[in-house]
Amino acid sequence: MKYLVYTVFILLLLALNMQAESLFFGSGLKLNLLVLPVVFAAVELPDKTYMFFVFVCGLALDFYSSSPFGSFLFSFILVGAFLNWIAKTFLANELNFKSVFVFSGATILISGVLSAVFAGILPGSFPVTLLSFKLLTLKIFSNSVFGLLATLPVFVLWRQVLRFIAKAESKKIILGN
Amino acid sequence: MRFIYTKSFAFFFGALVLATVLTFFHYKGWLAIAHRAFLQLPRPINYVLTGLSKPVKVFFVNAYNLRQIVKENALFKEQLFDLRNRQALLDQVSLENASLRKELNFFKSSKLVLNPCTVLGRSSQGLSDTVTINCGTEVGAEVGKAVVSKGFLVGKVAYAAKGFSAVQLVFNSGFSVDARLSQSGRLAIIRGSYNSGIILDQVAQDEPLAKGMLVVTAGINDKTAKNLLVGEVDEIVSTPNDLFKKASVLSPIDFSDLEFVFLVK
Repeated sequence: MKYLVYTVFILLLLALNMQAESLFFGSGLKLNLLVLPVVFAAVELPDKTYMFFVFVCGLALDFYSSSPFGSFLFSFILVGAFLNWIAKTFLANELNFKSVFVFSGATILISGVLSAVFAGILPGSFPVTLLSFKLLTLKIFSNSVFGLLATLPVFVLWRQVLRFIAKAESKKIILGN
Repeated sequence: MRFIYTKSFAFFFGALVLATVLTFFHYKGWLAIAHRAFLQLPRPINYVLTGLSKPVKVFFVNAYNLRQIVKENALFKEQLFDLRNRQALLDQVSLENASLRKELNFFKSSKLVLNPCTVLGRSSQGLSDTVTINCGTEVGAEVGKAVVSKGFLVGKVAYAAKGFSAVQLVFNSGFSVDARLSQSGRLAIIRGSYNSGIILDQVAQDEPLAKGMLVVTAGINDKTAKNLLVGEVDEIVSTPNDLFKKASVLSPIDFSDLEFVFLVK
C-alpha cells in the first residue's frame, strides 16, 4: 500500500518536472524534482525503503532524458547510499528545515555533476551533445538554485505523504484488531 | 568490523549490480516494455496539470505582454493585407505553372507525407534539449527525419525505436541542418544556439540578408525533407569583417508547449 502511495507521489513529481517549463510562463526553468524524494527517503526513512525511490526516480529520469541510460540511476544509488550512511552515523534527531536545505542543495549539485560524469562514461544509445564545461557548470548551478527553491514545497508534500501512510497503516491495525 | 563485510555494503553493492544488469537489459532492448510504461504512466497527471495551468499561464502571459500584443496585432494586420495580395499573385503564377508543366509533361513534385505524433515527454535536465514522441520505427521514423509543428521545423529525429523516438530540437546547441533563404535560394546552415535560439550561418558576405526573410530547409541531406519553414531572419549578428554573415532566426513555435507534432516521412 505504501509503495503505491510512493509511486503516485513520484509520478506527480515527474509530471511537475516535465510541466515546470510551461507552468512558469515559459521561463526556460528546468527542475530536477525527483532527486528530492531520494534525499528525504535516504535521510528520514529508517529501513532500506530509500532504494525504492532511488530505483524508481533514477529509472524515470533515465527513460525521459536523452542522456545515456544509467546516468541518473547510478548517481542516485551513490548519493542515496552516502546520505543514508551520514544520517545513520551523524543524525540523532528528526530532520529540521535547515538540514533539509543543506542536504537537498548539496545532493542536487552532486547528483548533477555525477550524472554528467556518468553520461560521459556510459555508452550512449545515440549521440548526445555534451555541453562545454562552462555551459555545463552554468546549467548545473542554475538547476541547483531552482531545485533548492522547490525543496520546501516538495518537503511539505513529502511530510503529507508520510502522514497519510501512517494514518492508513494505523487504521489497518485498528481494523485488523 | 570492516565496512565491506557489513550488511549495508552488501545492500549497496547489490543495488549497483542490479543497476548494471538493468543497463545491460536496456542496451539489449529488453527494457522497452518498461520504458513505454514509464512514458505513458504520468500522462493523465500531465493532462490534468496542463489543463489547470494553461488558463492561469495564458492570463498572466497576456497581461505581461499586453503592449507587445497590441503592437504585434497592428503589424500582423498589415502583413495579412500584404500576404493576401501576394496570395492572389501566387495563385495566378501557380495556374500558369500548372498549365506549363502539363504542356511540357513534367512530373509533379510529391507532397510531403506527414505522420501525426504526440509529445510524450521532454528532457527534464535539458542536457540535450530533446522531446520524446510516440512515433517510432513502425511508422517510418529514422534518424535524421524532420519533425514539424504548424508547418515549421521543430527538430530532427536523433533516436528511433519501436513505439517512440527522441527528437533533437532546433535550438539545441548540437543541431544543424542545411537551409536556404527562400527569396534568393542561396544556401546556408541553420544551427542551434544553447537555449537562446536559432542561428543562420555561412551566408556569403555579398548575399543580401535582411530582417523578415524566410528560411527553409534546403533538402541536401536526403533524410530531411526540403522546403520546410524554419523561421524568419531577425537580427544580423555578424560584422562586415567576418568571413560569413550570421543572423538570428525567429521561429513562431512555442517549444515549451509542444503537444502535437508531425513526422515528415
